[in-house]
Amino acid sequence: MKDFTVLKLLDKFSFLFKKIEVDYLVMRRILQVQLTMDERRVPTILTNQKKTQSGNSFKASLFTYGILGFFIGLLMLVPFPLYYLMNLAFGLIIFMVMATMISDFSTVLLDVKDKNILLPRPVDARTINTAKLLHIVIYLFTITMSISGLALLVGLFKYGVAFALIFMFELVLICCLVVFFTSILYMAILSFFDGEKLKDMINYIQILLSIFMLVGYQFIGRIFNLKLLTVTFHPAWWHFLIPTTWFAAPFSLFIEHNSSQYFIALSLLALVVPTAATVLYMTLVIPYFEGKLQKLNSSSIRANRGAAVRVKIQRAAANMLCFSRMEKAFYKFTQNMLSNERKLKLQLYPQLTFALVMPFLMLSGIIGNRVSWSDILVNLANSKLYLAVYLSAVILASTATMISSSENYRGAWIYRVLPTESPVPLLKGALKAFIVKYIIPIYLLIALIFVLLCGLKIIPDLILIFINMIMVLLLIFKLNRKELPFYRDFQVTQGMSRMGITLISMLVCGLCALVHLLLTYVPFGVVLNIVLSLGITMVLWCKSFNITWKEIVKGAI
Amino acid sequence: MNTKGEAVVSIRDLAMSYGTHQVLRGINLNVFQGEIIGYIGPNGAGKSTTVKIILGLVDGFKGQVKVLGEDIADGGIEYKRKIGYVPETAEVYDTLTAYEYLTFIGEMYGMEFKLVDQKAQKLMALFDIADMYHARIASYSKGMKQKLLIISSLLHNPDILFFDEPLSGLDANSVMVFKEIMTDLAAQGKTIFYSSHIMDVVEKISSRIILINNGQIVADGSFDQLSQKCREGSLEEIFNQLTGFNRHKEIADEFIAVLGEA
Repeated sequence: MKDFTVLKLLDKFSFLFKKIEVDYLVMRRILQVQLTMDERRVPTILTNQKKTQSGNSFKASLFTYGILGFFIGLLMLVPFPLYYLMNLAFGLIIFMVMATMISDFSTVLLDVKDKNILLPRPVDARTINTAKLLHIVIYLFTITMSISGLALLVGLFKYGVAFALIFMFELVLICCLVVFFTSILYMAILSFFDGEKLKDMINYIQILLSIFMLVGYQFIGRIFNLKLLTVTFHPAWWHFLIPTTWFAAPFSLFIEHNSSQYFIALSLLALVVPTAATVLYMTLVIPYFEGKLQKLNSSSIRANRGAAVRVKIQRAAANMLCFSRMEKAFYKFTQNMLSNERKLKLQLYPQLTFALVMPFLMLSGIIGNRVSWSDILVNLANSKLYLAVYLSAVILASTATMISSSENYRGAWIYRVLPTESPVPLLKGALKAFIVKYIIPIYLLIALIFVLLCGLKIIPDLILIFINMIMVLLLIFKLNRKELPFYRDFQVTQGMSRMGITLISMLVCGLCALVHLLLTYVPFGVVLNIVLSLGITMVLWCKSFNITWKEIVKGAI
Repeated sequence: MNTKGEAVVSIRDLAMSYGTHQVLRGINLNVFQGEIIGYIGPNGAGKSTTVKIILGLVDGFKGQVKVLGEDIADGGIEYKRKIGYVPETAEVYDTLTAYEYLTFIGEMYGMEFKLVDQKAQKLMALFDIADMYHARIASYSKGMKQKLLIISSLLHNPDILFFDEPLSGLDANSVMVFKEIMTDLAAQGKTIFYSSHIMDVVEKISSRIILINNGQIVADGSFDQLSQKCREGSLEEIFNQLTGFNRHKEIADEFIAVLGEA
């Protein structure tokens, strides 16, 4: 096992740990094992990429954080007053660190495995807990450094060494504070709900983070187009409640020598609050928290009032859409699986959100400079901008292949044991379920907004776009490897890369959009196009499902 | 029966509840050196909870538990050096290799790295999984993982052992080896808590059987004592009688009947 640089650095402070009665050597060994295991783990921010060579994944994710850090670094170049600038920078940094903490380190914070493995051994709880806290802080600090590294460099050149020193020191404080806040948050959730609920909430926060990254990149370019307003600043009591002001104040105090009582008080808070939080965390939060963690693996079974209705609707839909008993069964199975697959949602939801916002991002780019809202609406109503919905179609059509991934992929042995002659009902049922559960609702929402913007007359066009989208979806299905639903682990390389799928989707959707656009100039062109696309889609539907068991890719069971 | 010396483990009025559900309702027990205790009972009777309390995995119990004279409520950890534990559903750091995991565990007991490494390798070889020493545990079969757990519980040569279904997943040959190991360990004066649902193994291997039901001890004695008292020939039957279960035939019949429903 390799000896990590961090640990060697930590050795210099070993006397500190001995002082608080921690068995330093044991703690060091636990940390070494944890760090080794982390190298073999895949962080959230990278799960969209198929390459997961062990060892490099964490470094690769640091690179992604680094790109984000690039923008924070750029921000530092903007000639705002220092105090205001640092507020902005710390706002972004704290948000990112908090989000990362929740998405990637919840597993560490909520881990009961450590306890089960280590407690029967002669290791005292204090040592285990200190190791856990250090483990989290080491990683958070690394990530924080990659997010704020450039900002640090820019500050160093702009404001000198004092800036860098304060900045580094504060980053450690921020990490401690974030760990404290996150555990308080989890504790609150665990006090009221069971472990399953908490896992759901963590999942939603992970999804939010992914969406933020995805949509954020589209917006960041625009931020710098904003006119730089002159910022005036008046101290107010409520500033004391915002953590970014605490951390920004020392810069004003030490670099601009702005030693008003206001800045001194805030600077003290920057030091006192995280320290107090860490002490509180070690003495009060951890013992209480660990007790609550026992709840994590329990889930109370509550009768869900909505569930009975939902089951009825689901059954009715299955009866309407599917013909054989097998297909119906798989329709229901797929829908149920889709609602419970956390990891799949983590990949799927950001894509769906992206599909939802993409046309509007596009629109806001085109009409950004118009004067009034009524002008915009009039313009929209007379334009062919509704073709922007094809952007959503590109993304939605390519999501369907995701159903072959699952965190419970080992359960897929069941398909092979079933006495079914052909895999077709399985695949048909699953695909229909996916379309009904995700693609249609998202599409309807987009369509609704566009009808509100452009008027009822675009409804035939929207129907056409929908048919074209399903056509592309089937085309991708036909071209891709034939895989059963929930059949493989996320990291296993797919038949076609996501990139390839998106490219095909883009190409064909683009082509459809072009034909669509041209035919709008022909009388009844859209109706003609609907008939044509519907025909192709039907043929594709029949052709694509000409599959025998032999063509189905065997999973790694 | 075996009353020589001081009790290795002594439990007084042990009670424990999760919320409103009372798991243990006053356990009293003295365990002496060299005993192999067959610790049996129906699912949810409180077997695992007792063991977890002794190991300090579960807090919030009432009563007194002493291990080697040390009250575990005092928060000391020294007594854990003398304990080895194979849990029923065991968690391991399975992204590590056996080499990494076992040396880590050994060092947690304060053992020299080199010594653990040597011992671990030898023990792995004796269990016929020497070639897996540098493979990640995630790639192990169920039996291999079980062997690893057994090794990790014995590496530091403990005096008291807690085995919870230790045979699960082991092949017949390995089972024979392991039973032999247990008998020899007991002969050396080590104390073994053996918890299992496989009654004929418990019957054969235990020097003393403790049956727990609804959080209380309902029987305590050697197999001969129990079978005399209950007038039953096998531990399985004693188990049925003492836990008040005699409907197995009826339930099986009903089960078969349901299967035939068209």
